[in-house]
Amino acid sequence: MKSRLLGAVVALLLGTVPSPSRAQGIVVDFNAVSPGTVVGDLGGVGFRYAPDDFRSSGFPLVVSSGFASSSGRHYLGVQDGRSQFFQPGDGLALTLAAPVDRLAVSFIVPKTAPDGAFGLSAASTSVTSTSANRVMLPTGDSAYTVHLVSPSPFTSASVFSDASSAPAFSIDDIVVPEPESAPLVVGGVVALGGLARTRTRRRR
Amino acid sequence: MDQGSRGRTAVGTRRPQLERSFVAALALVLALWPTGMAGAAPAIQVELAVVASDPGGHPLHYRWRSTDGQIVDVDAATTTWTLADGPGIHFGYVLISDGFGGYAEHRVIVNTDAFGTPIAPHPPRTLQPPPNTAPTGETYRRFAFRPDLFVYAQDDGNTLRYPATGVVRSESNQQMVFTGMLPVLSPPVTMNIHCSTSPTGPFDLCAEIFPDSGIPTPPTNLPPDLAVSDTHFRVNPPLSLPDDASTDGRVQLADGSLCGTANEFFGVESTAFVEVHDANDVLVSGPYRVDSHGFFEADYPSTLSDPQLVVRCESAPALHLAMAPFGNAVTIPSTGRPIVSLLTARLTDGTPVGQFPSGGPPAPPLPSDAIPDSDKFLAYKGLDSRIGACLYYKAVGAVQDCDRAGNLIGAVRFDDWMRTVLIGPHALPGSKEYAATYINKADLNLTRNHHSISYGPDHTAAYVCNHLGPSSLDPDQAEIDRVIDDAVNGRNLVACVAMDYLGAAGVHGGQPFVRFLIFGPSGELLPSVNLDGRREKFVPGTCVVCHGGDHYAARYPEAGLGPADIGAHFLPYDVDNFLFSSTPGLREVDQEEQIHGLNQNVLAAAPTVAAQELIAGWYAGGTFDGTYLPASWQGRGALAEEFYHKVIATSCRGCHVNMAEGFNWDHYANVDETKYRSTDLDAFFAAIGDCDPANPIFRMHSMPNSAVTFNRFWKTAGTADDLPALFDEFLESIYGPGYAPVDFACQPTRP
Repeated sequence: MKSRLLGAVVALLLGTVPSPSRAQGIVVDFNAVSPGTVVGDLGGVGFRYAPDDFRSSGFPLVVSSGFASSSGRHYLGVQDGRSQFFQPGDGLALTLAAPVDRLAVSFIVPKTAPDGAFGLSAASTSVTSTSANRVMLPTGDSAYTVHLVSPSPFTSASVFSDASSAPAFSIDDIVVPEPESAPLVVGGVVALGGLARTRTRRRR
Repeated sequence: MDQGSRGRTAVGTRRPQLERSFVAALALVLALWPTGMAGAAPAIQVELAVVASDPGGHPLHYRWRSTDGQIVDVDAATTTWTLADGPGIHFGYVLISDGFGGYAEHRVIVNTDAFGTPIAPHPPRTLQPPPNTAPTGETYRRFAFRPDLFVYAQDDGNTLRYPATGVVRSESNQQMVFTGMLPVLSPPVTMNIHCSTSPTGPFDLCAEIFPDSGIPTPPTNLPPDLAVSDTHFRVNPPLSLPDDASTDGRVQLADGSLCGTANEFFGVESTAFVEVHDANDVLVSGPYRVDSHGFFEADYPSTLSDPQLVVRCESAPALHLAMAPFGNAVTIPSTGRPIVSLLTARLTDGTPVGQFPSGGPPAPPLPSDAIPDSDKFLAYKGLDSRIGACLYYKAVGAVQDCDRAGNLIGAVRFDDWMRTVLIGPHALPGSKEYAATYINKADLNLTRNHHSISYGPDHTAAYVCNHLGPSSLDPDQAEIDRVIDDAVNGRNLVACVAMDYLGAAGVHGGQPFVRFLIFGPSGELLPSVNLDGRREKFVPGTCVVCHGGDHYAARYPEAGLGPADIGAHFLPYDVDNFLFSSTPGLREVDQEEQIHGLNQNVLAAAPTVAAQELIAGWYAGGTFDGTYLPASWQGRGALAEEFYHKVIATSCRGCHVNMAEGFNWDHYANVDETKYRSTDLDAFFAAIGDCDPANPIFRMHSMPNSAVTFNRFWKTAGTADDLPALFDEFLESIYGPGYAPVDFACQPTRP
């Protein structure tokens, strides 16, 4: 019984925290791509702009630079002829090459953003940003890294911002687990669930 | 030697060294201690309070900004402003809004000459621009007749497309900005502008520019390495939706002011929207954004019966109107611009140190009163934002970084710049620094203290410290003497503008280029300056309007690393456009040699051909000769000579001399409408002849583009020395009778 429990915990942890390679998975940080490059698919992640204003729908997504970001100096923006920031209410539709159960996205803003300004949704799961997600950058700007963990794997996700409260923003550091780690996590969750049921029966 | 004696010996010999080190370190720390701490007087705080009311009785909201120091931006009628160190003039601004489209911006001026704290020492910083390669291509600006038009440019061979992917969207002032356009000189091609009212099309051909049209259309006959802006075009009829019709009109508040604002200093842009509804109040088309001058165009199916116009202005109730086929005049009831009756600045003990209105006699009326737009003047080539200004400073090495709101991080100070360029107290022994003080009556009417130094063809630096000028366009000699005396004694300092022509390793191949920096009275780097009293305008746009910007059009890039070299130039010093003190030492004759030296340094900083010829012409006889007439204007008759001296030399040449060759009116051949829009008469005379309300009036009737020069020119209308009439007469002498504008109703500054 102990070995089954240990195995389940190890499987779960492998999929969640400790190993940098597994914890980080695939990181799309845009730093190896030249500013101005139009982004459609990068690192196995597909990007589609979902503007709040239909009049922005002709703008492509581009790698941008000029301001601090959560890693390196490049980030994802919109080729709007101005600051290339996403505007309040803007979002992204992400498509992933293989099913995953987790996703993390960093939103970069001037100063701070109110709770709920940004979020992720996938497979009927949704999560929004809070001050706990905030890391202050050396420039005084902030990065809000939102993590989504779904009980069921997904291959598409929505990145969204609140039209009434979000400031203009950029996106950086999209982290998805390596594809092979998803089954491990799912297996771990199943094993833990089975263990829980066993222990419950024993108590009875 | 035992341990003890060794230790004692060691301690005994080291103590004096430690003490000396400690004292030295303490001295260094004290010398470098930041502002407001040890060794510096506490910063001065003032309380700002505004008394305002709203014509519609709506609750008011407040935003606060200052040019220097630290102001608390709070949504309240009072705030606290910690002033910058030192004496000088400081500006505090409030933008008041009512949520129903009404906006009012006012400023209060605080002069700390009498009570300012000493300027605290600051640790030195180095100006080091980041590595930068020359950007690919140039910027090109056109004007549409409405916001939210979606366009791309493509050559007739379908090999060049701008932008390569996506579209350009016309902005609230109707401008469209294409970047990265490559000059293609041979073979010439026709560029087609494709447009749509929808970002996803379908796109139709809206403008077709042929190589022989004479208009510089990229990438055909655009000279290499030259950013340009061009005329406007209309989507007519709207082609994206077959069988459409369109209407137009203007939206205003009940007091005649605009709904919303386009205020780059406060970073606020708001406007009205219009929609077309059917008789059942169902949305048919729109919303269409109203432009920054209140005009709109809206499309609808021509088969639509009883179309309704629905106008939305912020939180005001939507206005439903029967739609006219054109010329809809829409007034939002119970609205208006907030009225500010008093804006005060007081020290914390209650002592008043600034007030708006000032309480003096009302200013005499000026022609520019008819054109109240905050961004009409000093903005012809473009208008920058806080973000763009910071990125410009970053590209030229004046700041280390920018935050995402455009705030400066790690900014240099005036002394850092002087140390870098070797001027003032940092000038090298044996070098010659020229200086002169006067009023530049013809352009900004400020009292200016100029300095310049040159170390050769790749190292020239200059700065001008601007002090308050006279109270009118035509001051008497006593006032001239007084304001110049204030300037030479350091009083009433507004800001110092620094320019240098230097190269930097890794920047544009190490080639020298001109950069601008603005410093407040405390030496603090400022991103903006208010040179006409209308609004703070950001670098580099407020500089290139007169200093030229061969690589600048519309705005400085607001993302990425923009060019350090925007193609600007030093301005020649035109003695005839100055006012001098009668005090010995400050008279024109006393400063003649210094001004000659200033002009010689202009020649050392890669001036335009026009500037070279002008300076050579002025000094052909050894001393300044204001009667100089360019060779190409000679022999063309008395009218041409009079026009050159009375109009071009006083109202145009001061800036046009720094523009691209097509704008150089010292070459007579360039006085030709087909040359680079070099005679943009719309800019001079407003909507000539037709008063088309939907014209892109962002640039209409904005010349001369400095309010002071504008007023000097237009105030002569109807007088014995009528310069606009002289302009008409000269144009007709070239192009024939009837060429000059005749509809004076389109020229509000004509009597």
